[in-house]
Amino acid sequence: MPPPLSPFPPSSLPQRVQYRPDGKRRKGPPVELDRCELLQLSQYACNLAPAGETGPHGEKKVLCEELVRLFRRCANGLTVETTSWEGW
Amino acid sequence: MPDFYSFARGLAIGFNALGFGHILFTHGFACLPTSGISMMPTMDPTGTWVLISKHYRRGRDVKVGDVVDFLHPYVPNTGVVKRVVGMPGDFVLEGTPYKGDGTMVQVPEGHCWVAGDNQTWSRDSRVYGPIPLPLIKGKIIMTVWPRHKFGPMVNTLRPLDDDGLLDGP
Repeated sequence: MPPPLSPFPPSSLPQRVQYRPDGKRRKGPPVELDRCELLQLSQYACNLAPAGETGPHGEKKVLCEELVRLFRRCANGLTVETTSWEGW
Repeated sequence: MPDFYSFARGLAIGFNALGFGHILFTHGFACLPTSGISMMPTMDPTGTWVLISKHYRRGRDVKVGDVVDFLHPYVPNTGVVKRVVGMPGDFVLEGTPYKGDGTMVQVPEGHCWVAGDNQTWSRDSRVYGPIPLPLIKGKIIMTVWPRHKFGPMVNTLRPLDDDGLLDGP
C-alpha cells in the first residue's frame, strides 16, 4: 500500500512546493513557481464518434480531444503540474 | 556412452539458453504486445507491439513524460503501460485535467504517478494511487507494430508552444 496522500487545493501549491515528501523544508532558495520553466504535456479524451459517423469502410471512428497538462520545472529538478494552479 | 554425453551437452546448452534469455528479457530488452484503449491515440487498442528497455527497470532514469511498463499494484502478474506524470516529490493533479476542483497531491518517496494518454478510458493513479518504483519493469522506447505507428516512443513533455495557451508576458 502506498503511504496515505494528503490532497490540497491548488491555491496552496506555492507553499506546498517548499517542502519535501518527508515534511522537511527544501534546501536552497525558496521555489518561486512563476519563475520556473513552463512545459506542456498533451493527453487526450477519446471516445467513439456519434452513431452515423463512420469511416470509409463503415468502421467506427474514434474522436480525440486534446487535454493540455501544464507543468513547471524548477532549477532543483522539481516538476510541478500547474494545470489547475495556472487557472483552467 | 556417447548418447549420455550428447544428452548432457544438450541439457547444458538448453540451460545456458534459458539463463541467457532470462538475463536478456529482465535486464536488456523485450518486445511485447499491448492491448487496451487507455493509451489511445498514442498506441492502438489492438495489435500493438512495443520495444521495452529494461535499463529503466525499478524506475532508474525514468523522467516525467516517459511511457513505462509496470506490474499492476493490485492485480498479480499483470503488466500495465502508462505515461509517468510525476516522480518522487513532484506535484500532480489528483484527478482528471479540466474536471473537478483541481485538487493536487505530492508524489510520495519511492513512487511515481501514472496517467493513460486517453484520460476518458484509463484506470491509472487516479484510481489506484501512486505506483511503487520497484514495480516498473522498463520503459517503452519504440513502437514496432503496427507499421503506421513504427518509430520511437517520444517523451511528450516539452516547452510550452508559442501559440499562447496562457496570457503571459
